[in-house]
Order: sequence, then structure tokens, then C-alpha cells
Amino acid sequence: MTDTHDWENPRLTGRNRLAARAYFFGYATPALASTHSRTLSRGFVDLSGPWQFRLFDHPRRVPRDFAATPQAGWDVIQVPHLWQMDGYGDLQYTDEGYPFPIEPPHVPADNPTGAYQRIITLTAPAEGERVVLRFDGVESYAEIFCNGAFVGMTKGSRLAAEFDVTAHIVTGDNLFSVKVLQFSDATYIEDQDMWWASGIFRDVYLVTRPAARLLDFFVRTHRTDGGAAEVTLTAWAEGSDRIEWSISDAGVELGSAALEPGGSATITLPDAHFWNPEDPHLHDMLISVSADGDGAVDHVPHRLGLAEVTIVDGLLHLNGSYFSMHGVNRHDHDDHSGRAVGMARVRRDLELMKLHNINAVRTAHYPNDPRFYEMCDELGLLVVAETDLESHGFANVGDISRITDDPEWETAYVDRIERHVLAQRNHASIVMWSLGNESGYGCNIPAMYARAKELDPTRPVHYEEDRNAEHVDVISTMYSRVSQMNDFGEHPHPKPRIICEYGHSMGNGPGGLSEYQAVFNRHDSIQGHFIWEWCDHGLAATTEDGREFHKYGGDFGDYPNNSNFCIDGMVFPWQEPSPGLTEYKQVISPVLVDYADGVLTVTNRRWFTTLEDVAVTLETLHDGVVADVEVFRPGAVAPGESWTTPVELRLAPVGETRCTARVTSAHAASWTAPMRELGRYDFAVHSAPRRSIAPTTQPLEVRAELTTLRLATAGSELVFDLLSGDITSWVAGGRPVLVSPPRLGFWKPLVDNHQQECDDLWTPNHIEIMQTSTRSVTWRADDGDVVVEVTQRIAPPVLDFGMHATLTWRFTPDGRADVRVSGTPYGSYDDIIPRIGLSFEVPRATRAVEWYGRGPGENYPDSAAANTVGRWSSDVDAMFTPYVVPQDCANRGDVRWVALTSPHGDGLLVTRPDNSEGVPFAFSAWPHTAADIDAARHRTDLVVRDTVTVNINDAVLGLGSNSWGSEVLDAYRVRFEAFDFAFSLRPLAAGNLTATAASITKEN
Amino acid sequence: MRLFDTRADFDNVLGGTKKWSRTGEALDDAPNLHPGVAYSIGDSLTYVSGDTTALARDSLTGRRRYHLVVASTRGTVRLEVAPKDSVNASTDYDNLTDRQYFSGSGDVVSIPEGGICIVDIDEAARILPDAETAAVQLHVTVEGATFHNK
Repeated sequence: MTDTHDWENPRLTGRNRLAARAYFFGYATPALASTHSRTLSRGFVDLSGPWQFRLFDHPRRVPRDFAATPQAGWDVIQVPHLWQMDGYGDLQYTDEGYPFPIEPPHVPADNPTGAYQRIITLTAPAEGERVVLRFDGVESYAEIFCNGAFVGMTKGSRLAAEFDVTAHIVTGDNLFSVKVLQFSDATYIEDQDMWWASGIFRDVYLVTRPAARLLDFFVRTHRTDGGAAEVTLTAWAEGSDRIEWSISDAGVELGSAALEPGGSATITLPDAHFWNPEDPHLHDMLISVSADGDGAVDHVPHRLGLAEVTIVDGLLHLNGSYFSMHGVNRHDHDDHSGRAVGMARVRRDLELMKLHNINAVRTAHYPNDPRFYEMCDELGLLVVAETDLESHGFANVGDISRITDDPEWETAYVDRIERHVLAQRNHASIVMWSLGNESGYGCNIPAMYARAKELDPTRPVHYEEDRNAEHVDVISTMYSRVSQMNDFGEHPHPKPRIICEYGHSMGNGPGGLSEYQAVFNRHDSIQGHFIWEWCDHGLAATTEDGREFHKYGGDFGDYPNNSNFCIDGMVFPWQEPSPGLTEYKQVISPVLVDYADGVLTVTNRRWFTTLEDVAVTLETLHDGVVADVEVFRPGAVAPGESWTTPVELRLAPVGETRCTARVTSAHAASWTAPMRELGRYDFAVHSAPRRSIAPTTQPLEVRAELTTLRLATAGSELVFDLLSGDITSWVAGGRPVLVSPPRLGFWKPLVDNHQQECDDLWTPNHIEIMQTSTRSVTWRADDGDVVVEVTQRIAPPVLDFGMHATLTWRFTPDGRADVRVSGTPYGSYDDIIPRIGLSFEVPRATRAVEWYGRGPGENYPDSAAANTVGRWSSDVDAMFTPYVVPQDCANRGDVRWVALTSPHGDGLLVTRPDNSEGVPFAFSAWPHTAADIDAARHRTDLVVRDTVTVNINDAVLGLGSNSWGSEVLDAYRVRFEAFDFAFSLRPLAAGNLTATAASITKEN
Repeated sequence: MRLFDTRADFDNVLGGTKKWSRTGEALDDAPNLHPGVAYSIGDSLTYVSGDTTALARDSLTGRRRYHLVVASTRGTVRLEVAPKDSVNASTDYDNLTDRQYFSGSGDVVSIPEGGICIVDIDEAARILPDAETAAVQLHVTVEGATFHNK
């Protein structure tokens, strides 16, 4: 046995692998070429599908005759796949840690090895033809055999690999055997934050190239000052001395040229229709290669977008126009197949981005399937095209730059950018190259940069850890805070700036996106921002009773692991938007609406197109109910320009007048129907004084016993415990109003974005287990009401700080219970807490919810842009957001009143009392308790209770994004300090919500 | 406010803490970078170098989430510092800039060339302009208990 392997040699990136080239297919006729259907291309044989498979625990356990002999008794799996997803081997999730000891280039000797075989019936190629076997993705090391012969070897999991198998193909059955090793030296630079999994995870196919064939091409656009496009093609061919080239649009040829192989030609298109993400117009390009005497025999189509990226005075321009990227970082992920993601899912990802106003995507942190870039060209998404590089795990030994700064690894590093650029450089959507992610800095970075510029001088290059942009063309940071971004904007770098990761979307959140966006919008030098990240990496699983949930690190017995750090996307694993994505959509809305002093202002925040397609529907709301609707069409407002019109709104004679502006686009495309909502805004307009409450004449019956106080009025009885200070029973109309007493609290279920605060502040100070001690309860009659005053100490065990609180209940003859709550802290703790408010339970039957406040969706103080103030209705179950790891959710802010009712219409109404009117509050209601939610690790751990937990909060801590990034901004911090607030609780009789709501909004 | 007359004093006292080590790293890098341009080291800090005439502000400025740190790189830099509760807020605190402006006056602190001054978050401060002096101005996170990022 030797200790030297190809898979532990970073100087060797492949054997017999063909030179990288653009992704294209050759067709026998122009008509076939126009289909862009690769299955119709010459000699296309799809090798995806069933393969014989067996997993070995060591490369040398693969049978010696594996290359030449079909193996009996092996399993059949479907390629593409990751074998761990099919139940072979072990899944493991780490963010950055290598799953084996660090000793580059060595990897475990017992290296899991997947052996694949497939027999394909083929016809031997004709004279001069070449048969090419292509893999679009194999992780991490593959040896390929055909009919027993060694074909080649490749590394670079997410970089295409092609091999010439012409010499090995026979007419009849052909045996393809592929040996895939999970780990190789390449693993050290493929340490992205994702599941450790391996296999042939993208498509495999054969193509036949004719004797006269196109080898590669590179097309680029230059926009002239006069608005023409000079399109230059360089093309390489074999077996031919002439290449024909044409550009057409909608079937009309706009220009043509001929060139020699290896040469270049330019077609000038006057008044060109340029590509941009708002108008992703594509031309048809056809390259035809002639064989001597045979005419053209190889026709290669390309969807050409006319796009040129330049840097002018330190700012990025696309086709001469300034632009900014509202982006997201996207990993390949499917909750059933991992990174072996089908193109339907990829397309749905991209369409969801478009539907949420996103105009850019960073391919974090590797190249995607080549069809991804075609889709971005078609749909209109700018791409920060990152190659397959990350050596983050060296951070764990304090030396993240170890191999990045080691010349021994230069070949491997440069290979990764070379193959990437050559494969994708013809795509209009690619706005810049990215050399990789979180790999430190060192000599291999400038080497990669130089190679990228050599292969594509037209595009800027990005790499975040070239911290001061010593070499790269775009300076970049990640997770810089709001005010830090403002510092950058106030003191701009000579090169354009982006923030390539921010807004860590782990669980509930992120918060603070509006503030980030305000800074981005303020400074031209900040030209892109990319949320981390697009999709949760949860893997679908099913309980024994058939309920679906999603697994994360540690759920497979994997250790070490980074637990749910991979559940950090704006899209749930089942590919539906989370509230965070809804918020992001609003924050980056391309149309800004303002209403002030009777003037409606509509501003175009697009970069390339007008507002000709846009309508603004302005709704006037009286106490949350739509009173009037008017539609405005701003017309062809140019990018950056505004349109204004005077608008006279009809004011409510009593109560609150607000208006909501809904912005829609009439534009239709493959990914959107017309009337897509681009954004929504709401504005306070007017508030008219309310009338006073009519006094009730119904007396309150009071009965004091040893430790209880019974209060009765028509149809309602309330029992108060004079020791605990609790309402122990409240029945109205024969039905319970509450089933547990309102109690003051500061804790709510932990959200991932507060984990660090929990670890460092709350758990050490036992904030989550504070104890309530009732020190006194007194009561008195007061002008027909009954007032009960409760003093409490709420404090953690072990420590000597806490809150002295007073709850002053006022029970009125009309059946209402008002409570004023004040607190004075003592002791040393004065830092942040999750909330200040009351919690109680109501019967599960009381789970229909109607409220006048911010909605309809979940919102928090620092994540409230996407929801507007109005009257909304839902139910407790629907309001519970199904985060993969259960956590606090369902909050609604800016609430004037909330009612929980049963199907009979009875229930409870919560408002501020008269003297607190105008101070909105927040509420949430769950079918579980806070303790249930905190204890649950997966959605299916939660069991619906027969009660509903209701939280009415005077203050709720903002979300922030400090699961990896920004703390909660100062304005959204809730501190353990003095407070004073009040609520009013009223039982609702069947059917009287409308009347009661009307009374509290109009007559309070 | 903490004043270190020399870099060595600063390193001796604070050098073991990540954000203060990075402060030292920034001070080492600053001479090689563009003046007037903000750079950063991880999430810990941003910094900009320049003549004090360019770094000076008209008003005392208070911060809540980032310490103002001033290191003199030429001459004796003068810094006016006042406890926030001794001056009057002239603006609200701004989440976008981590700034709040104050009116009033404070004590003038002289930072010798090579010295470093850390302004606490219960203080407001401003660099005083002087054509003969230059400095590196840093905003260093107050995070510590909850700081583990890049």
C-alpha cells in the first residue's frame, strides 16, 4: 500500500479532463438549434437515472474488476443524488469545522467511496466525431472508467468536468464505472456551510461533437456613447476554417459576421435593446461551424443579453447606468434531495426572488448548474458568480489563511476560478466574479484574480477577504452593522462597495432591515447587499405517525455539529416564504410611496425602467375599515424621479383616519401574473377626539370571603385570589373568559436571533426562570368600581436583583377589568430583556382572532415594514409561524384592540383603557405555552393544547440578526427598567364584537 | 474616557481582547491606506485616517454602540470630551449613524503623538481641528458579552 494518492495531492486537479469551456450544445440544423433543447443536440445521451451503486468504507474495498465488470447484486439508485440522502453513509452538518482531523492534504484513510455503474447501448462514433462525457457535479473526487479503461479523474465538486471517451465507445453495450470519494484534498477548499454529503449530484450526459466543431466562444458587449451595442465574438473551432455568426431578435436577423477559428469579429447593433434585470431582453445568437465542402454542420445557439459592466468614478454601471443590487445568498438546497436540486426547484427559487423584488443573487459559495445562469439571463437577476472555494475550517485552528497563502495550493485555487469563468462568461446576468468565500487571504488570491481578469477582462472581481481591496475590483464586507455601513458610505472607498452577507435569517427575523436599507439608499457607493441566506437547509423527515418535520445538525447522530445554524434562510425548507422574506420584499420595493400634507408622492427606485406599468391604490381607512379607494397611475416616471399629486382624503368624523397605498405592476411575465404587488405603505392621517363612555347603571355585586373576592355583574362573575393576586375564575355568559390568570412577565420563547443575548445575559441572570412572589393584595370599593392592588416581586433565584411591580386592577360594573401595571427595578441588572407584558390563557375554543393593528402578517418592532395598520382577522393556529425550530412568533404590533372569540362569538376583547388610548400595544396568541415552544426542537414536538396562550405586551424586544450579525438596534431595545402601562379586558358576549369594537374605537 | 500615552501602554492593558487587538491592527494598517476612506476589521471596528481638520465635527457627538477611539498620528491631537449628562442633547439618537449630537462644552484632552484615547459611551466628544495634527479615528464596538462574529 502506498501513502500517496491522487486524492491527497492538491497540485493535481484532474487527469485527462478536457479544458473548461462555455456551456453550449451543438445541433445538426439551425431549426433544432432554435429549440435550445439540449436533448435534441447532437448525440445527447442522458446518463441521469438508474445506476448500480454500492458504498464502501474505503477506496480500496471497491472490487478490483469494478472498472470492467458489471457487479452483481448492487443496489439501484437514481442519479443525480447525494448518497447520504438515499440512506448510505452518514450525514453531518457543520458550519465551518472539517469533519476530520486537519492535516492537509490528508483526509481519512477510511474514505467513504461510492461506486457507480451503468450500461448504455451506443453506436460507435463516426470518423472524426468526438464523444464527450460530462459531469455537471460530483463531490468530491471521481475516477471515471469506460469499458474497463481509465478515462480520467476530476476534482472540483461544483465545477463541470468533461472527458473524451471516443476511443472507448463501442457499438452495443458500454459500461461506465465511476468511483466517487467523499473526501479529497479538495475538501479542504470546499468547506462551505452546508451538509457534508457526496455523490454524483448533478446531471451526467454524453454529447457527440462532429468532426467540424465549435470548441468554445466568448461574446461580450460594449455600449457606445450613442447607445449602440458593439458585440464581439471570439470563437475557437476544430476541423474547420470558417465560423459564421448571426444575431437575431424576434426572428429578424440584426447582423452577421464570419470569423476564423481563434479569431474575433464584431457586430454593431444601433439602437440596441440592452439587457438589464428589469427588462431582461435576450437576442438569439447562432454560431455555425462549417466543415470543408460540407457547409455548416455544427450549429450552436446562445441566448445573448447585451450587457456591459463598467466602473466609472468608483461606481458600478450596467450599460452606462448606475444600479444597486438588492440581493440574497443562495445555496442549492432541496429538503428531500439536498444539493441534488432539480431545475424545477431552482426555477421556483429564482421566480420567488423576482416576486419579492430581489434583483441579484450571489451563488454562495460555488457555481451552480449551468442552467441556473440561463434562467438568471431569462428572468432578470444579476449574479455575483462565486466559484467553489472555502477553507473556513482553518479558522478553528487560528489560521484561516493557511492554504490560501501556501503556493503549494495555487494550482488548485487557480483551477477553480479558471474553470468557472470559462464556463459562465457568456451570461449577461453575471455582474461580477467572486473568488470564493471565507478562506482568509494570501498569495493564491492575487493569482486567482489575475487568471480571472485574463479570461474575462470585462467584469469586476470580488473577494470579501481581500479586506482593503488590495487586488479585487469591488470592496466587500459581511455582517457590518448599520452604522458601520454608514461609516463606509460617508467615507467611500475608491472602488465600489457591497456587503456580501448580512441580515442573518436564522429562525424568526431578521430585524433591522429597514435601517440597513435606509443607509444603503443614502450612499451611492454601496451598490449591493446580500441577505444571508435564501433557504433553510432542513431535511425532510416524518414522524412515526406521518407528520413531516425537518432535521438539522445533530439529528442524524452527527457530531460535532452546528445544530440548526443551517436553518437560516428567508425561505422555509418546503420552499415557502418566511415573514423575513415578506419584510425584505417591502424594504426593497422598487416604488417608494409617501403621503404627507395632502400630497401623494411616488418615487421610482428602479434603475432602468419607468413606472409606466405601475398603479398605486390608495385606501382611506376609518378606524381600520376601508372607507374610500382611489387608483393613481404615475405614468412614465424615469428612474430616480418622483411624481406627485394632491389627494384629499375623507376624514373620519370620530376616531382614526389612515391611508394605505398598495403598489402593483401590470407587467406580466413567465414568472408573474399582472397586478403583482410591489409594496405597500401606510400613513397616519388624522385622529378625531372620541366621545366619552356612557356611564353604566348596573351595580357590581361584591362578596369578600377569607381569601377570595367575588365580583358579579350582569352575566359575568370574576373571582380574585387575595393571596396570589390572581384572577382565578372569570365566567361570562356561562363560558370561561380566562382559564389562567394574567401575569406579568419578561420572558418569551427564545428566538435564534437572541441566542447570544440568552447565552451571555439572560441565562446567567436566570431571566427565563424569574419567580413571582406576591407581597400584598388589598381591595377597596371606589365609586361603584372595585379596585384591587397587588404588589409583587418578580426576580430570579440565586441573584439579588429584580422588579418590584404593582398591578392595580379596576373592575367596573359593565364587566370590564382594567389593569395598570408599573414596575421599579432593584439591583444591578439593567440590560435588555425579551419583553414586558401580561400573559394568560383562554379556552381553545376562543381562537378566532380579530384585531385593529399592524397586519395581516407576523411583525415585530424592527420588522414591521411589510404590514400595515388595519382591521385583520385570523385564527391562533394559522398565526403560528411554523419555524423549523419552534420559537417566539405570531407577534402583531401597533395594536389598538384585539378580540379572541369562539365560534359562538363570545370571548375577550383587549384594549388600552381610556387613559392610555393612543398608545398601541403588541399581542401574540399561540396554541401552545411559552414553555412548550421553548422545549420543542422540531415542529412536531409541539402538541396543540386545549388552551390558547395570549400575550399582551407593552414592549417587545426587536429581533435583530445576532444569530450571526447585528444586535438589536438601540431604538428597539427593551431594558429591565421602570415601566408603567395599562390594559383593559372585556368579556365579549356572542355576536357583540362588532358593536363592542365600534364602541371602543368610536366612543371610548 | 481612557487615555494611553503610548501604543505600548494600550497594548499592555487591552491587547488581549479581540476588539482592542484589532484596534492595534487597524492602527498598524492605517498608514498604508487611503486617508479619508473608511475601512473595517471584521465586525469589530471601522476606521478612517486623516488630518484633524477633516475629522473634526462642529458638535460634541455621543455614541451608544461604538466607542470613539482617537489615535494621534501627527502632533498632539486635542479632543473635547464631556459626560453626556453634563451637556444638552441637540438631536435624537440615530440608529443609522450611532450618533447623537450635544451642545455645550467639555474638557480638552491632549493626545500625544502615538497616544490613543477611548471615549466611553456615556461621554460625548469631538476632535478639534488643527492643521498641524493628524489622527486615526476608530469606531470600536461596545459588544463584548454578545460578540463572537468575524
